[in-house]
Amino acid sequence: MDPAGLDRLLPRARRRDPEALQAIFDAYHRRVYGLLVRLTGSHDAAEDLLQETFLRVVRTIDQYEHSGRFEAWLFRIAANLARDHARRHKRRDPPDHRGQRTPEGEPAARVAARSGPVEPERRLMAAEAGERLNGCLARLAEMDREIILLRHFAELSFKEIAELLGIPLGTALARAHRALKRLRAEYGED
Amino acid sequence: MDATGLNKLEREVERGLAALASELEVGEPRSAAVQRVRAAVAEEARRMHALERQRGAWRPLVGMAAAVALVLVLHVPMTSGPQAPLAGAWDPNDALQTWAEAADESSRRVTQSLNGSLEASDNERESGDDPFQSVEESFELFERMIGA
Repeated sequence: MDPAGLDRLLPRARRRDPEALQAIFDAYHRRVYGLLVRLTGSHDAAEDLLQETFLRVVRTIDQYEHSGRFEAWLFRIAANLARDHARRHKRRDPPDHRGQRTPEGEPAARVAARSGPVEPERRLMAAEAGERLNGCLARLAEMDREIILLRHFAELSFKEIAELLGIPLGTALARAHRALKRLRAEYGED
Repeated sequence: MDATGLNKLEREVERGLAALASELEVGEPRSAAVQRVRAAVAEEARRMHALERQRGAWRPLVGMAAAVALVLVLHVPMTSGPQAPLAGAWDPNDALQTWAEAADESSRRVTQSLNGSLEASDNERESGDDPFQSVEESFELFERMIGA
């Protein structure tokens, strides 16, 4: 969403105008969902957390002081929820990378059963690649993973990410560099 | 690390991320989930809006009640007793004058009452009714009753 459009929507959203809040959801839900899938490793958990993220936006939008950093605020809510989710499930389950969905969000096995003989193979391969990447991401340190994913999905600058996580810029960059190096090594070898 | 070093590191990280960008994409959530969340957002917005309107409606009433309470707190001590310490309109000279007038009136009434009593006593005396004799007669009557 362009900054002017956001500037127009935010005053209405603060008054809890349903249409304005739905427009914000329409503009950001794909990226928030992407971040949540990669942080949790689960499409189902990501869908639940997507709803929780936007409900929090509705409840707390009046506390947000607009200074052109709405995305940082929004993605911080999502990242915090994903972190809480990970802590709740840490002891119960290992990271859930099963039930991988296709890019359209459907379970790969279901699509494979429905499609023709060539298409399911391609989709399954894509789903498996996504699963492997989730596995590699899950093995990174929590903060390293967040830095990479916030840069990609939230499109925050490294300076903004460093501020959001309360670390120096140099540390954020060094962690991102180390994480990417490790991802390349593991994902390439996998 | 100096600014040049940071810039170089940032460029390197950006290149690494760009190479991974397509792999990181996950696609969209299911349309049913999108519709569900969209509806939940609108419903929550309406709920919060109604809640705020409710709170907003109470605010003037609470303000009025506070104002009335304040007026009572300030007004009652000013008017309820002569010792009211905050009485803004209280003039000590007026109060003293009122007290002096009341004292004069009271004194006048006492004097009148005393004079009335004295006059009555004089009249009794003039008519020959001796109160002491009456008392003596009462004693005699009493002695007869008890058979003394």
